[in-house]
Amino acid sequence: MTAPLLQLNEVCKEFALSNGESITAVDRVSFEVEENSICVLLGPSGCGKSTVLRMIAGLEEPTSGEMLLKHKPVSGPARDRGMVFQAYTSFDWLSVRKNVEFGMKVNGVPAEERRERAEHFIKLVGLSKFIEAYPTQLSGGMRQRVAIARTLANDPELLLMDEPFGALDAETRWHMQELMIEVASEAKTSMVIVTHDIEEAIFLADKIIFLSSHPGRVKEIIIPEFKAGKRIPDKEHLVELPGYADLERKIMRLMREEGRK
Amino acid sequence: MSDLKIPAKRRFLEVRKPVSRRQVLISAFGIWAIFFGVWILASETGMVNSLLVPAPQQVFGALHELVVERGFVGDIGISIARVMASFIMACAVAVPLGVMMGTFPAIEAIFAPFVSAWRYLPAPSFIPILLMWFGTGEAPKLALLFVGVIFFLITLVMDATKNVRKELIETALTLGANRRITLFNVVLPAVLPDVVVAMRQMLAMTWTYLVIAEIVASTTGIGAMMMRARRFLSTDEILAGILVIGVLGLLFDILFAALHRWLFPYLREKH
Repeated sequence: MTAPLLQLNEVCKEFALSNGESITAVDRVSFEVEENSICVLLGPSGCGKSTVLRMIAGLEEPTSGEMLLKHKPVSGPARDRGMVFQAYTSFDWLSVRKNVEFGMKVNGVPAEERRERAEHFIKLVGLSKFIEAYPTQLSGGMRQRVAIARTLANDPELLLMDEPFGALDAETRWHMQELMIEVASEAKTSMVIVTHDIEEAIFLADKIIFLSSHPGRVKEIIIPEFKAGKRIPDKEHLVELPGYADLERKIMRLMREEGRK
Repeated sequence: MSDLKIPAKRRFLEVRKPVSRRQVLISAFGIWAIFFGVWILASETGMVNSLLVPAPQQVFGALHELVVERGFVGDIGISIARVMASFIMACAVAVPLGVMMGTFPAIEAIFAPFVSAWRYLPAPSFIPILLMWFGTGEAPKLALLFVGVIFFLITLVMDATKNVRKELIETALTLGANRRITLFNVVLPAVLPDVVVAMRQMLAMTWTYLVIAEIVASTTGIGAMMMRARRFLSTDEILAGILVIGVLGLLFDILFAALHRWLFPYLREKH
């Protein structure tokens, strides 16, 4: 048995309110992310899933608990946990190529290697034709692909994504989801993805961490067994599989229970 | 009942409907033609005292004479030099400070209470004390322009820097950037277009203070020429001075707009 890549033990996050009280946003959350796996944090709004992701990224401090990446405690943001946000984060003053090279340049990767890796990952996300373009010339989906290529090229241990396709139209969104399946097997990247889209969660996840709301707790850890440990490359195929509908219904019920609270 | 009416004709006043380029040009020329027309008419018919309101051709004649015979180009040069010198000094302080204040709340906490208090003091109120401190040379004029512009520029740059989206900074951090790289390679390039816009606005304000400085305490420059002209009742020369200041302001504004387009080509690609 291989040790997990990321381990969260009893992680809590409290936010101070202006009246002096504090509110628990994340309550004793524990889970593990295995190497080369896609883990999805799913839950209704207000369940603290984004806060959990931001704590993993080092952008927020947990109030208590332990987070280990390869057995070492996580503290502060670093290149081993690259993050893709819902909002566009392209550096508009840099070409697509320079955007993707940014992280590597910061981390002192030699120019030649930087160039090759950038070209490789830009090709992987299908933007080779636009390598010298500026992000402002690209569509929303393409800009998000730049962000993904930029993070992957920086060679993180873990790719974190906070509702990365939330701002995209439906068609672009499923293209991007299929692209992520392709990227995950191609680049052998482990990912933690936050979403509130049930279909997206089932499609991408090797493991779903379902969080309850107010405060955010792990309600259930779901392994989509019907995929039989394989990743399904396209969505039509996924929804045809026996077991998909049952799982979707089950998660919908969980969502509804939380909504009633 | 098909009672669909197609509007036969565009009305002159349409809410937020763009007008044709032709109409824009005709309107722009038209308003100036009316302005000069009324002016010429008023002075030709003797409706106004020609001593107080000289005809346009008289103003252009005075401008020609000033330039050719009385070394007015030197005055214009001095005024431009004053504006540029004090504006560059103000930018050299305000831009780095504003960016630092917008990036690091600790820096903002130190300077913001100071800067915002100074903004409410009208710069011309410092003229008497500046004259006493610096005498009548170039120093008090440059100081007035500097004081008049710098606090507004700091605030504008700081606000622009605060508007740099949090996600851009967090992206840089999760890519492994340290504070220095985040400041110089992300925050600074992200805010620079807005800084140039703020500089453009403040340059216009510098011209305003220049005229005040030269009218109050100077023997050289465009403002001083206008005050001299007043003593000899040369209204045509005063109006020529106003004209020159307006044209210079416009020229610098166009220059800055061109600079913006040249520096930030990537912002043009949209649309």
